[in-house]
Amino acid sequence: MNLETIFIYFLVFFSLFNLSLIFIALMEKPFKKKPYKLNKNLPSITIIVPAYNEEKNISKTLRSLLKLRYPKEKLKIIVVDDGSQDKTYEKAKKFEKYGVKVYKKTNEGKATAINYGIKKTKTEFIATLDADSFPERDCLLKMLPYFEDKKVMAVTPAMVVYEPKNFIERLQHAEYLFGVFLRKIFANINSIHVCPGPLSIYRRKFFEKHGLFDEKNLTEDMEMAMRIQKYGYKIETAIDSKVSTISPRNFKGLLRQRLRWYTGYINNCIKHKQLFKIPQYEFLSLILIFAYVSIFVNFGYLCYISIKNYQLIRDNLRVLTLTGFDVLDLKNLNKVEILEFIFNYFSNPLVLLGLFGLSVTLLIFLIVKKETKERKVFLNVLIFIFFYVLFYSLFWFFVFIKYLTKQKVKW
Amino acid sequence: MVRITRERQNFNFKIIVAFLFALILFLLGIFSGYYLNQKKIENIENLEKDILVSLQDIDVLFSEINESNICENKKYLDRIGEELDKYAIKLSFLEENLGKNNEMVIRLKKPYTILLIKHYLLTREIKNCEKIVIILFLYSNKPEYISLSENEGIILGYIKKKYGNEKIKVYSLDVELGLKNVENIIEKYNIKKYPSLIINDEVYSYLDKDKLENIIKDILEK
Repeated sequence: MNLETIFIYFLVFFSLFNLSLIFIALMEKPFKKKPYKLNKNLPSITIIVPAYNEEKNISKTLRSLLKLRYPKEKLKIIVVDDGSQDKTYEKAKKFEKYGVKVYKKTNEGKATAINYGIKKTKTEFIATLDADSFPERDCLLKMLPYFEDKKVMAVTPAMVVYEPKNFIERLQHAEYLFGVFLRKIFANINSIHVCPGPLSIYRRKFFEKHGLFDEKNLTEDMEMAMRIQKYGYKIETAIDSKVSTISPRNFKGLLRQRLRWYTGYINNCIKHKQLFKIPQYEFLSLILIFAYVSIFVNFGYLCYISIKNYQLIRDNLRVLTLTGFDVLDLKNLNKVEILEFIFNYFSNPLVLLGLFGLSVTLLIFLIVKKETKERKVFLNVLIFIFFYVLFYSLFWFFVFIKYLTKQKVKW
Repeated sequence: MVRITRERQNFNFKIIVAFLFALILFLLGIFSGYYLNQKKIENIENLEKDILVSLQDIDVLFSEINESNICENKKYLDRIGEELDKYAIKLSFLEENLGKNNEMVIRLKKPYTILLIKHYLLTREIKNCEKIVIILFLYSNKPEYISLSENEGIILGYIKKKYGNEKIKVYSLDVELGLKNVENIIEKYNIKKYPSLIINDEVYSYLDKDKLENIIKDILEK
């Protein structure tokens, strides 16, 4: 047994174990949605929109909020301008005639803006919404029924990328769709550990008992989710409640975002390290640990694929240089040669396993596509399948570099 | 300290079930891998049988052929030649999968090489019936020779495809198999290093694509 074989066997078993866990979690509560209705008994809710230099998107976000189906007297919308240098404040101000409250404060970070908003309101539920995100009309109606369970302290939506056009956006579009599925699985085993910025609803009671958002945190939404888990409460997800959000458009922006997210993940894991006590936190601990294992699995997988591709390219280049780059017609291919190739290729267990994994991935995307009614996902899924591991490993690589050289990651 | 009451989730039971489930899938994978390997070995055994049958075939041809009927028997020789090509492809896949020094590969290569040499000897006789190029390719998988040998093999594969089996007959002989027939050839042509090519009785060392093509063209146009 050489190192390569041991790694491959480990990779295979790890993947199969994860797959079995997903399957068990799926069986627990299949994709059943809560029924919802617009009526007078709905609870009061405030949507807080923290905004920093969002003049381009704030109007569209507020318009989408005004279109939400919800009793007007029960819904409050607050914009907290966190010291923008552009026209965010002025643009938001124009919506005051529709009942939107707009505040301006000095720039101290997103968490401070949300906390500022929370202190300005007394409603039973509090939602946070990034200023570059656009919820569908029925989002609140679909999410609130999950609070019937008194242990539920937060509900998250199905997040999708808003109008993906270029490569980076398409990659994220597929990644977010995959995330929708994962979050549903995590919800089934009460292991959600992020409440994403684009529309998460919280029970006010939790803030009163356990404090507001951590203002020094890189990923305050993750910290809040972990805190909710730490105190033994639940976080749910409404898979049919769709929120579109604008995601980084280029590699540099994406890298910046991921440095913040992943470093935030490490920091919050340290802050809430008791979540790693498996006997107490069960599946949640396991998933937090697996997240770390999967980083190394991804690195290893990437190396393996790179070496294999390098060998393939090298061998082909050798043939091409020796034959003077004269590619012979396909008709010259021998039938026996083709049959032997097919037999040899598909009798490799790793190829079969790869095909199995690919089918499972495609199946997951099919399920999510149906649930979220997203369209034109095929190209994005292809990009995801071919490039995600590369990007994911690259981001973690930068995180480790920053961590080892003790550079601070900023917002 | 806040008392934390998390809902129990039947965690241990589920983990054990997931683990067993994964284990079953894993073992299924291993068994199917084992099964496929078994199939491959069966394939090798069949290949060995086929080669032995072809050997008997060519022996019959040997005993029947004489100078007067040699050209009429060409079609039988061509048919065995096609079989040889088929074996060559299968063998090269086996080499790729199992490695060039695999015991089973070497065991198969011996009867195959004998078959090749016999075919070569007969083909030499029909040289007078029509214009053909006969290439004996002597190679070695020893570390000092393997790289150039592989290169020459690639070039010969290309040439064969380009000019077709009718005009070009390539016989690739592994000199490390310890076969008397092969050693006779090495002695006869006084070959010291590999790869070496014997093209219509002329000895050459490594030839690149252009040189080889020029030699072939010369012979065919003569």
